[in-house]
Amino acid sequence: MAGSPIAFRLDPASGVPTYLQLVQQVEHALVLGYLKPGDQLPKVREAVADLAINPNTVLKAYRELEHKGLASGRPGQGTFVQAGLSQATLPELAGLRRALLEWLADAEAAGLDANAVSAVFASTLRDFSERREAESPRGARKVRGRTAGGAA
Amino acid sequence: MITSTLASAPPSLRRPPAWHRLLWVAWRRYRTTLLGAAALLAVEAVYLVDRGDHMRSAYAAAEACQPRSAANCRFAFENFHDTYANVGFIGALLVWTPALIGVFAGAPLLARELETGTFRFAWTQGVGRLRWLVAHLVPGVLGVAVLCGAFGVLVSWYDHPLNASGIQPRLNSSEFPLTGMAVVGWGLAAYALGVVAGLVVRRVVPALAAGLAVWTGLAFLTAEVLRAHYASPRTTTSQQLAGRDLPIDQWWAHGGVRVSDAQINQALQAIGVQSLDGGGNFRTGPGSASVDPIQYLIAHGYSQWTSYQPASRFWPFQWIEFGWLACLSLLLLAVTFLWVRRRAA
Amino acid sequence: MNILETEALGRRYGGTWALRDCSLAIPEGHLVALVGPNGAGKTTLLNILVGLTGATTGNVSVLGGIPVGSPAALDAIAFVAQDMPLYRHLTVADTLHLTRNLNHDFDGAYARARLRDLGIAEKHRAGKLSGGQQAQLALTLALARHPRLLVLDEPTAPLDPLARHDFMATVMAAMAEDGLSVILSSHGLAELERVADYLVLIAHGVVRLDAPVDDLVARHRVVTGPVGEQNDPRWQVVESTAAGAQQHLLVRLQGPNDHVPDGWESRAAGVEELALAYLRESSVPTPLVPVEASR
Repeated sequence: MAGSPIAFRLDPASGVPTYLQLVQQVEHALVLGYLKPGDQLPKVREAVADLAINPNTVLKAYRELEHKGLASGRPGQGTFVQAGLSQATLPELAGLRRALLEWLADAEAAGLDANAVSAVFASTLRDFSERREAESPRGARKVRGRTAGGAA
Repeated sequence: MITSTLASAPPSLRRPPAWHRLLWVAWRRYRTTLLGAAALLAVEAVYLVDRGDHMRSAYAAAEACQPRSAANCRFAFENFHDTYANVGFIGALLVWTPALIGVFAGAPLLARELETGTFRFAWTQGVGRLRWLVAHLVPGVLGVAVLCGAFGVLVSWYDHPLNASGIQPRLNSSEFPLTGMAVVGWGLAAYALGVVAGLVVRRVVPALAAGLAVWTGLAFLTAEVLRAHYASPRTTTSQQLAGRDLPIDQWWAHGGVRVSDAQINQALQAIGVQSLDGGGNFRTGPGSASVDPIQYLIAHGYSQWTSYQPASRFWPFQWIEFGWLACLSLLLLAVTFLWVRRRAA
Repeated sequence: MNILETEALGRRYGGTWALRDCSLAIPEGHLVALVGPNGAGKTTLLNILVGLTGATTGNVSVLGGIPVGSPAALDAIAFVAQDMPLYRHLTVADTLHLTRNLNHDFDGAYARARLRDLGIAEKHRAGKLSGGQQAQLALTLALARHPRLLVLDEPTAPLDPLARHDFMATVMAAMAEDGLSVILSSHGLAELERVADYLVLIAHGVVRLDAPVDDLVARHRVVTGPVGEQNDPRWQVVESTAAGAQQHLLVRLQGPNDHVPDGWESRAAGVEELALAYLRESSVPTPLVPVEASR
């Protein structure tokens, strides 16, 4: 085993939490084909020594990937890719792009400039994600847990 | 909770401390001071051995000269006395040798740790600060004792002809604290004073200065006041003290009662002489008769007393001096130990 | 097991309390950042922790109940003080030998290998090394003791950015490899989010906040909305920035149903942002209840 096909690199100015950057980099690598099922993710110790980040952060990212079903840890050996990301087919992607262009035209007509479009998109995406989280089994557990904590 | 933690502690925790490892630490610490002290003693040895050899030749020549009362023999003795009574320019260095050895070994020990902040490293290592301290103090004390003892032997060897000839009292202030057991005591006191100075002052150079200053004050006090009274002095009316005995005080008495200088002067007015110091020094005036003032006083019922310490008390006094200096040193080191134990930062 | 437990810990120097009423229970396995301005009491707390100074009041124990300063604690804790005290005139080789002789366990092979990798020659005097090299030497000596807790007092303050990166990378790698816990004090906030996963904020001798970073971030949001509108009464406002029409609020969420009303913007709060806000706040905040799902 030569090691992982990918290496991590952080963007310290992006504002995105470190563990999320790691998760995203793995997902992007999967989409772009750098990682295939069975490949090993970078060892915690190496990632930590290269990036000077907390090992618990790497562990958290790997746990997140496990929850998403993308990776699994083998004790004593490391963390390995389990499944690929489902990719939208090319026709689907073309359709999505067309719908988005139409929406952008509407937004421009309403008077939104690029920054405004970005802001609206970001907040709507967040709302969408939060609703999805609450609907998913894990999210429902989280809500139940918080209720218990809040009542205490 | 604690039990389970200790049970899972590495076996090394249950090993006894490795004193030979700590000995290396102490050796490394004292290495430079040791070399400095060795160099100092070497220089002094060269000087003293050379001079001592010459002194022995001169003394042998003077001793061999017969008859003693002849002018040339008396001259030989006087020459010997004049040349060798004073040890020369190295005298000051000799007097301070035990102080230099002790203070330079003791003061930097804690002062440098506190000044540079390395105590934050040394005292958070596994052995802990108390073992660290003991591992430094014990070799320090022993090393200083041995070096000062050796120095004492050198000085006694040098002084032997001077003592034999009776030129100087056995208990004289220049030689006494530099030989025998007293020199070891002075070295230990210098070491302990240095260590405490380092702890209090927390800077190396000022601690050295403070240690030397206090030691010098103590040495001066001892020479001037303390040493002469380790035991009650003996008294005698004899005019001549043995050369090796140490005179302390001299006074006149009449009918068993001590008389003041004023009374002596009153008595001497008859022959026009004034006493200068109540002892044997007189100032003759213009109308003084050619009468020996001392004989005059004795003839009129006065007696001259001298208090002194006999030469035979040399070794008892050596042990007394060592004793109180050693106790002082132990006390100072105990205080240091307790202080370090209680607090560091 | 808690790496550090204190109960109403206090330390007084003369008439001033350098540290007071400090109660902490920090679990093992974290890198704890002890953050606060100069003179806040960080060094005092660390000195008590490593046994260099005693407490005036209160209790303190380390590594699951071991008394501070005891032989077991001294063996298991390695400390690198501010300004990396080293014996300047000793060579690196002598320094290694010295450290070996002052400890029961010392991994000399590890230390020498590390120094070789770093390009630090053993014959050089410690005082002649560069700042970064001295820091690495001090850290190597500490790590070669294979401690269970590494305590660092403002370790990166004198270092240039490259040296700082290398230093922290070494610390983290040791955490990953040995399961080491780390307590690190700093008066700066840069890179906090990358290295710390437990935060203790301290100012004027008082602990203002102590919580895992994950809990902190999960519990807070920065919301932006119009001035004068009804806020959610359950929000605990930590800090607010307001102008005529608009206000930003840094809030601590209380319960599960906290949500942002329509028209309000909301984003997660950054760790540095949170630290600054809590350090500025004048009243002592209530303790942070951990979020269940983060455990």
